[in-house]
Amino acid sequence: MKSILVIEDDEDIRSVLVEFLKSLGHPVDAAFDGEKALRYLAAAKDQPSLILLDMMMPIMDGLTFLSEYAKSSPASEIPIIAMTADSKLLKLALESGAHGGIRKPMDLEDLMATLARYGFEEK
Amino acid sequence: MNVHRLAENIFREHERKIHARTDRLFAALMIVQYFAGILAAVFISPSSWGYATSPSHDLRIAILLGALILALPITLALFYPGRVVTRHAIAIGQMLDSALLIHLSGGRIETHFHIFGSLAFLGFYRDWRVLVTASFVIAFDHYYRGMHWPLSVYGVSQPEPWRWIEHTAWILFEVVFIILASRQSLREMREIALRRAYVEQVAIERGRDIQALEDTKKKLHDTLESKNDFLSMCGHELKTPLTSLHLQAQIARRLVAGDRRKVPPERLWDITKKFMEQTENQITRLLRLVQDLLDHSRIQMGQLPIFPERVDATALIRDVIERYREQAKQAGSTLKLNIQEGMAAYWDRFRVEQVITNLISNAIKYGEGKQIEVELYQAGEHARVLVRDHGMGIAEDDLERVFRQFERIRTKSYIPGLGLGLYISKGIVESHGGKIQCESTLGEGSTFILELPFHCTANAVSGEAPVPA
Repeated sequence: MKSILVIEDDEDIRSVLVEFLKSLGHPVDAAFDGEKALRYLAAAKDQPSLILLDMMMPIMDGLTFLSEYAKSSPASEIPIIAMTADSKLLKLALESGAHGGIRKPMDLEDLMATLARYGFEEK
Repeated sequence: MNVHRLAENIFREHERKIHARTDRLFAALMIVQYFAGILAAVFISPSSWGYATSPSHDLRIAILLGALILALPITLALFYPGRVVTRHAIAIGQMLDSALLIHLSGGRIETHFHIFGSLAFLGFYRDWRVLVTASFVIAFDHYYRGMHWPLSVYGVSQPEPWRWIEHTAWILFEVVFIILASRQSLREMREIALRRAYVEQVAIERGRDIQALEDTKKKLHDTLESKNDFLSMCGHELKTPLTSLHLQAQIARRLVAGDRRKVPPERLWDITKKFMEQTENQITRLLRLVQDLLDHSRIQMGQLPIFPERVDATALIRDVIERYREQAKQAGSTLKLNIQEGMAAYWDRFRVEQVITNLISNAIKYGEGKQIEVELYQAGEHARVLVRDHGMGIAEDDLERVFRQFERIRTKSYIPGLGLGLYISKGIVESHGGKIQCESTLGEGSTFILELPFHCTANAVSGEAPVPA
C-alpha cells in the first residue's frame, strides 16, 4: 500500500498533517528532521511513495536533505514535495531535486490537490 | 590640536625651510666668491698694490686664506643646513671673505659695497642675531686692520683714527633697516601660518564630522538590517502556529461537514480532542511570542515593571526544572541538580521564573543531548544560579553578543525562536538589581551565571537606551 513520509520539525504541524493524512486513509510515517528521515529511508523495508518535506528544520534542513538523499539514493524516484513560506527557498528546493512545492501557511485544498496529482486520491 | 599651536608649528616649519634654503644659497655664493677672490688676486691686486706686495703673495692669500675662511661655513651649509650654528658661521665667513676681497683689491672703497650686499643677503635669514654677529666681525676687522694695516682696508696709509667708526656706522644704518624688514616679514609669515592653521583645523573637524556621520549611518544601517531580520523571523514564528491552526480548522470543518466521509464517531471524537489540545498549544505559543515582543519593547524603553513578593527561591527553581524534565529527556539530556535548600528571597516570581525557564530551555536546545547541571547557592547577599550545558558552546567572538536583542547562535540549520530570550532575561535580572553572565568554550558547552540580590529593590527599571532613530 502506498504510504507517505512527512518530514517536519514542528510537532504541531507534524501531528496535524499525520492525523489528516490518516483520516484520508493513507498510511503515514513522520520524521523530525532531514537526518532522521535519511535514517528512516535507509532502514525502511517499504519505501514511501511520496515525501512531504519542510524546508526550515534544525540539525538537517530541507536543502541538505535533498542533496544528501540524492547522494545516498541516486536512483530513487520518490516524488518529494517541499513545504515552505519562502519562495526563494522553494526555487532552490526545486533546483535541488524536489518535484513540487506547497506554500506555507498551508491550505487544505492546495494540499489535497497536490496529493491527488501524485496519485493519493481521497479514499 | 589647538589652532595656535598648529599655527606655531606651521610657522616654525616655514622658518626652518627659509634657513635651510638660505644656507644652501650661501654655500653656492661662497664657492663663486672663492674663485672670484683668486681672479682678483691675479688681475686686480698687482695694479692696486703696485710694488707693495708680490703677485704670488696675493695669489697664495686668495687660495689659502680664502679656503681657510670659507671651508667651515660651506661644510656646515651642506651637511647641517638650518642649524643656528650654521648661519652664524656663514655670517662670520661671509664678512671675513668681504675683508679678504677688500684686501685683494688694495682697499678700494668700491669693494666695501661687497659688505653691504652680503648683509642684504644675510637678511634673507630674517634672523636679527645673524646680522649682529656679522656687524661685530666687520666692525672689529675695520678697527683692527685700520690700526695695523690701513692700506689693506682703506687703500690709504694714514686714515683718520675714527675711520672704522664711520664705516661701522654706515653698516649699522643698513643693519637696522634689514632688521626692521625681517621683523615685518616674520609677522607676515605668522599671519599666513595662522590662516593656514585655521583652514587645516576646519578640514580636520570636517573630516571628523564626516567620520561621525559615517559611523552613525553604519549603525543605523545595522540596526535597520537586524530589525528587518527580526521582522522576517517574527513572521516565521507567527506563521508556524497559525499554519497548524489553519489546517486544524479546515480539517475539522471538513470532517464534521463531510457527508461523504464515513468517519466513525469515536474516531471523530478522538481527532477533535487531539485538535483541541493542539489548538491550545498553538495559542499558548502565540501568547508567549506576543509576551516576548511586549517585554522586549518595555525593556528597550526602560519600563519593565517588577512586582516583588516573598518567594522560596529553592522551590521556584525546582518547579521550573520539574516542568522541563520531560522535554530534557526527549532531547536526550538529564538534568542534574545541586540546590541549596530553604532559600527565601524577595523577587518578582513570574519574572524570575521566566529567566530560569529561558536558561534551562536554552541549555536543552543547545545542549546536544548531554547532561545539564543546575546549581543554586548563597553568595553573600546574593543567590547565585548556575546553568551549565556541555553542548555546542559559544565562540569567544560571539560571547558578548548573546545578551543583545535579535541575536542567536549562528548555525547552518534553522533554530526556532526570536533571539530575544537572553535579552529579556538580562533586562529582568538587571531590574532586580542583579547580573547575568556567560562563560563558554566552543564545542565544550556554556555556563550561564545568574546573580540576584535576595532582597531586590522594587520597581527598578532597566534596559539599554533606545537605538538612535
